[in-house]
Amino acid sequence: MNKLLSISKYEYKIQIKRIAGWILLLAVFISSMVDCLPTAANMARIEFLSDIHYYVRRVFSFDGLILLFGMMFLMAGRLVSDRKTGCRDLFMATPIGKGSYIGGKSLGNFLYVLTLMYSLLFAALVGFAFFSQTETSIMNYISAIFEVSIYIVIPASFFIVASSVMLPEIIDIRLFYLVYSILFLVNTFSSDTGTATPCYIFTHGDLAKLIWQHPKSPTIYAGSAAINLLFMLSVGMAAIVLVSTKRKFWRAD
Amino acid sequence: MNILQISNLEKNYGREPNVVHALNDVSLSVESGVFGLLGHNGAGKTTLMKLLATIMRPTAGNITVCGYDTQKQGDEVRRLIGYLPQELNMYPSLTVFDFVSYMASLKGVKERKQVMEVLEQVDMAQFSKRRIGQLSGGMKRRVGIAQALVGNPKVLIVDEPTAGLDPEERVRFRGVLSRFAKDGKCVLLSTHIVEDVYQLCEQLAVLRKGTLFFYGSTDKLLSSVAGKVKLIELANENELLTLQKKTVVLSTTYEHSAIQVRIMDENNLFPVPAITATLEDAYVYCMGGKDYE
Repeated sequence: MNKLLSISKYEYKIQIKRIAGWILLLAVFISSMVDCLPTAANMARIEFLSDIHYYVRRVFSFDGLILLFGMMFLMAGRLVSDRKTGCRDLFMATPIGKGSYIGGKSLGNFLYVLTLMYSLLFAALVGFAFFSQTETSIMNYISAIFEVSIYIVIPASFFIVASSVMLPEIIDIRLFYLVYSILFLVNTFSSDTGTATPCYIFTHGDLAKLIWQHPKSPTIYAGSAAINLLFMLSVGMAAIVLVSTKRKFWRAD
Repeated sequence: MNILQISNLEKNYGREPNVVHALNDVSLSVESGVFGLLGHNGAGKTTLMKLLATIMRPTAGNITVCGYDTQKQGDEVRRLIGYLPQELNMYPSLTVFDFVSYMASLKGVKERKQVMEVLEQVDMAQFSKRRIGQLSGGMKRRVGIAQALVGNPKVLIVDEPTAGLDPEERVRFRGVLSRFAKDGKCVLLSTHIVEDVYQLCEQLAVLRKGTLFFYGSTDKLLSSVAGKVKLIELANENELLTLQKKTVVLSTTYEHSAIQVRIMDENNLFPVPAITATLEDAYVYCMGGKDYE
């Protein structure tokens, strides 16, 4: 367990020092400010922006998605690069197991994604608090953070981390980029459908799509959310299992 | 006492009919000190290093490190070894200290003091806060050896550590390895730089196409060519081609219009006095296509 935590600590350190991640976060934050902040100009277009729940979902249904898309490229091939640089040989020559290595790499990248996703969330909330014309209670802030965490940030981060770190070890990284770029594109530009559809990256998929235009449906379709959650968790878990069981991935003990 | 014992080692890659025999029936034992492993590219040196570092399993045969079997007691072996692979590109965004601390933590070493000690051993303490991406090639190799030294291993396995280094760095590297080997510890040095082996090793092995071609002391290898190396001056390339059909040419040097040729004159065909043989002469002779001994 200690070694898993050591690997995750240094993996996090390696990733968090990458300037590209912070530039991406800044770009996404600026983009979210332009469209989503409850400024007078934006309020004239979208009267629901002063609702904290609507606001955070709007930020994460597009800008959060773009952030995750960029982070996919920053994390893709973390295992493959260890193999190519000889670092995996170093790991295998030390008394650590495959589980610690895979777990540590995954956990480090998961914490990295959470850091950037929550940085976006809190920066967005500070902007909201500064510009909002109406009183919003602290409990509303907390419930918005809780909901966006449960429905969006945590499952989507797990899905992207597990896929990006693991799958390029199984399939060609160019194929991975292609498939996941299509998935992101479909998620980003399918905002005109309000039907309950699986395979959204965010668990409240259909709601997110509606909410980008108008909060027609204030409730989450439980079935759709469950299917989307299942999709993300199962793809993420499958990616981890595939790598764990791959022959020649690790030394034969 | 033997620190490393290798018995009837075989390693094959692929499956029939495309199987590649990387190592064939290699047996040797290594005591404390620096042990050299020579051989040209593809001879099986890196495969042997990876087998010793427990990264791969042999097809047949076995290896023991301080009495522990690498296949059955892998974790015990991994606690005793330090390994520097041939190709190593460390994480460029980490600092020198962080990288060595990272590797130390995987070996169960938590004390910051131990990390600084190994950095001092390789003269990198003053660069401990510098990012790896900002280091020269020689400094990176020193960080590589530092991570191998951390945790006070009994056996150091270094795969071509001096390749691509300038002479000053190579001398420095040799100093680090010989200091390490002083106290009853063992360094297994794989290289194709004969000078490094000559300077560091009392014992060596020569691998050729996966087979152990020579195993013994450097003096024994040198004595096999002593009195047989001669220097001949030739006028042109045609004479050189003719000479190559008669004997083993060890090296050639082009000087003005003449060609200076070092040869191995086993049958005393050339009536010129023999010159002092070097380990490189003996190695080239080993690799020259003729059967040894």
